[in-house]
Amino acid sequence: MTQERPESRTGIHGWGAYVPRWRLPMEEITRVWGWPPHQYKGLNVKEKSVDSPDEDSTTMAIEAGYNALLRAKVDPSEIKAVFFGSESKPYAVKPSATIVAEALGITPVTMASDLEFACRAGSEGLRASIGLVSSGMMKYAMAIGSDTAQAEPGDVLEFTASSGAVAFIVGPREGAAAVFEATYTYVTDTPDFWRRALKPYPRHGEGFTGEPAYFHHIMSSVKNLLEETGYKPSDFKYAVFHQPNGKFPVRVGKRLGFTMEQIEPGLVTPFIGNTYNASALLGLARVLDRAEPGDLILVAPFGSGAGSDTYILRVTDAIKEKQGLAPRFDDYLARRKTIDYALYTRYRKILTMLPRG
Amino acid sequence: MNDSMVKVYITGTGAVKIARHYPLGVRDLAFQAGKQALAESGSDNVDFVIVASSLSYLQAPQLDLASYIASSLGLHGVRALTIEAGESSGLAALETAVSLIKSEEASRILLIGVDKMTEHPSGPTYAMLQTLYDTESDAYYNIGHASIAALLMRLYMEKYEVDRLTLAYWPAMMHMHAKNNPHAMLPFAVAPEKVMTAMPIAEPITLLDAYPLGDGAAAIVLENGDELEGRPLAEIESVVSATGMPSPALRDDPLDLESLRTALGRLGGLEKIDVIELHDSFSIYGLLELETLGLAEKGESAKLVAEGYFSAEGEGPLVNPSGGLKARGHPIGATDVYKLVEVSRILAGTWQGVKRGGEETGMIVSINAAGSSARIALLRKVSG
Repeated sequence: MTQERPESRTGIHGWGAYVPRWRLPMEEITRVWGWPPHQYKGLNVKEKSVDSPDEDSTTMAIEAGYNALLRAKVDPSEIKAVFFGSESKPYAVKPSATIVAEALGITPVTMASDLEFACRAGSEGLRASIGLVSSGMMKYAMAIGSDTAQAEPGDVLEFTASSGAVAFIVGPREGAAAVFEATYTYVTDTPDFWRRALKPYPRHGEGFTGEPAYFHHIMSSVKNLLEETGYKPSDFKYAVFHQPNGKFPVRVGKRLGFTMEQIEPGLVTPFIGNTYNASALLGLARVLDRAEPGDLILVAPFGSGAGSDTYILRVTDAIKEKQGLAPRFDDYLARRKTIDYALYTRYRKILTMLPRG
Repeated sequence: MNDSMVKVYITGTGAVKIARHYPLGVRDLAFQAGKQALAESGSDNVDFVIVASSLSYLQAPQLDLASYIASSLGLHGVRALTIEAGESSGLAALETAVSLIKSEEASRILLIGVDKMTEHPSGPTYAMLQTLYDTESDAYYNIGHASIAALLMRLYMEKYEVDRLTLAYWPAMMHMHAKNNPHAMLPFAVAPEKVMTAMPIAEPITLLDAYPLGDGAAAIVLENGDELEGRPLAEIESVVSATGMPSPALRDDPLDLESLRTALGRLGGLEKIDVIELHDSFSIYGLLELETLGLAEKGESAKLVAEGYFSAEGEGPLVNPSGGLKARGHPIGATDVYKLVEVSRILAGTWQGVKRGGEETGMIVSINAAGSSARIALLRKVSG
C-alpha cells in the first residue's frame, strides 16, 4: 500500500462477548411446528441461544461492554462515543446506547446513539468508531452489536433467530490487541429482509435473501478490499463472515477462496444460532480469544437491506495479556442450559395474556 | 380440425434458462427468447406477435402485454394478441397462431410464452396460482394446487395398489433428464428414495413431486409452408383442445382426465409417437396423462416409469426428455412454449439434451389445473 489508510492508525483495545445461558434445540421447533427434521439440518445449526425473561438487548450489551472494558483496561470516562447496533431495541424512541453507556460509567461526556441496518448496524458503529478515533476527535470509542432477534413462531427464521451481544473498544494503534489495516463498505438498496413500523416480526424475500443480497454484497465487499490491498485469501489465518445460518458463511468463504480451516474458528452460529448484529462480530471475538501475534484476520459482517463491511486486522503482541482478562466466547458457550419450546415462549414473551377480569 | 391445405412450420426457437431472474422483468425475458427465435428463423419479419402469459396479469401487472412486448422487440405496427389459458396458455396460443396461418390471416408469427413467478414471496405467489383452479368451488375452499393433486395421488395409490416408492420414480426420471437440458431450472439427479423423505407439501406429495417456482420465457417462429423464409425445424400437424369438469370431484371418475380424453378424440386417432412432453405440475398428472392417452393401462403407468419404459433406453415413447415441469421448470404461461422449443429441436436434430435419435413424431400435452382444459399438439419431423 502506497498511501497510509486512516484506519491503520486505530485498533481494538478490548473485546467482549455475551451469550445468554438458555439453548433451544432445533428438535423442539420441529416437534412443535411439525417441520420435517431435515428442514433445519441443512442450516447447520444445532441449537440457538435464548435470552432470559429479565434480559434484553441493552442488558446483554452491558455484559459484553463490561468484558470489553476489562480487556481494554481503560477508564470508562475516556470512551467518548457509544454506538449501539440492534434491531431489537427495547424502546422504539429513546436511545438504548445511553442505557449501556450509563451502566458502564461512560456518561455523561460522550456521544451515544442507536444504529439500525438490520444485522450490520453494529459493524457500521465499528467503522464510525474507527473514523472518530483516527481523526483524533477522541481516543476511545465503543461499538456494540446486540440482539434478541425476533422471528414469527412457525416461520423458518425461528430456527436461527437468537440472542447475543458483542462489544469492541476502538483506540489508537499503540497498545491495541489488533490493528485495522484496511476497511471497506458496500451497500445497495436491496429489500431482502425488513420489519415495517409497528410490526412485531420481520418479513423476508425467501430465496431473494441469498444470491442478490447475502452473497452479492459480501463477495463484492471482500473482493474489492482484497483487490485494493493486494492481499489474497491464503494470507489470512482467519476469515469470519456474517452467519445467518451455519451454511452461508462456509459457502461464501469457499467461493471467495478461503478454506474451512480459516472459516471454522469464527463460526459461532452452529452453536448459538444467528445473533443478528452480534453474528459475525461474535465470530471475530472468538477468533481474538485464541489469536496469536502476527495473525491476519478478515471479517465481513452483512446486513439485509443490504450491505457488507470488510475489515482486515493484524494481531499484535498485546493480545496475549488481554485474552484472559474476561470470560471468553467459549466460556459462554459452555454455560448452557437446554429449555423446551414452552419455556421458550415464556422467556421470549411470545405467550401473551389478555388482561384479567 | 382445420381443412386448410396450408402447412405450418416452426422455423425458429428460443428459450431463456428457467431461474429466479430477479433483475429481469417480463419484457426482458420475452425479449431474450424472442430475439433468439427470430435469429434462428433468419428474419425479424413477422406480421403477428402472440404472447402466452398467465401470471403476468397478477405478478408484474401489465395488460395488453403482447403489444408492449412487440414494441420492445422493435416490431412496430405488427398485430399482437395476448392469450391466457392458465397452465395451458402456450398451447392455446399455438392453437390461435396455427388457425391464423391456416386461414391465411397471418403468414409469419412470433409466439412467445413468458411468466415471472418470483416477483413476490411464495405465499402471495401460491395464492395467485390457486386461481388456476375454480375460484367458485375448490379454490374458494382452499382446495387446489398441491392438495387436489395429493387427493388424486392417494386415490390412485389405493385404487391401483401402487406404493409410494413406485410413484417416486417419476420425479427421479425428470431430474435425470433435466441434467442435460441447457435451460432446465433443476439440472441435478434425485434418487427415488429422496423424493419420499423430502418435505411434505400435501401428503403423500413431497417437495420433490412438485414443480419449482422459476421465471422463464420461450419463443418460436411459425410460418406458412408456402411462403417459407426460414429453415423448417418441425411441422405442426395439429392442435386440439377441450374443456372438462372444473373439479375432479364432479367427474364420474376423479382419475379420468376427461378434458384430455375429449381432446384426444378430436385428434381422430393416434399414430406412433416417438417423443412426448407431458404436463407434470405434480407427478400424478404425468401418470394420469400417460393412461388417458392409452400409452399405459390404467394403474400401470407408475410401474412402467419405474421400469424405465419411457426413459431414453426404454421401449415406449420417450417421455419428457426436457425434465418436465418438475425439473425443467414451469413458468406457467411459458411452459408449453418450452415444450415446443424442445420437441422442435429433437425433431430437427439440434437438441443437446436427452434423446434417442431418429425421432420423427412428437406430442405435446398440457392441462390447466386438474384438467379444467386440455390441449394436445402433434409435431412432425420435416422430411428432406
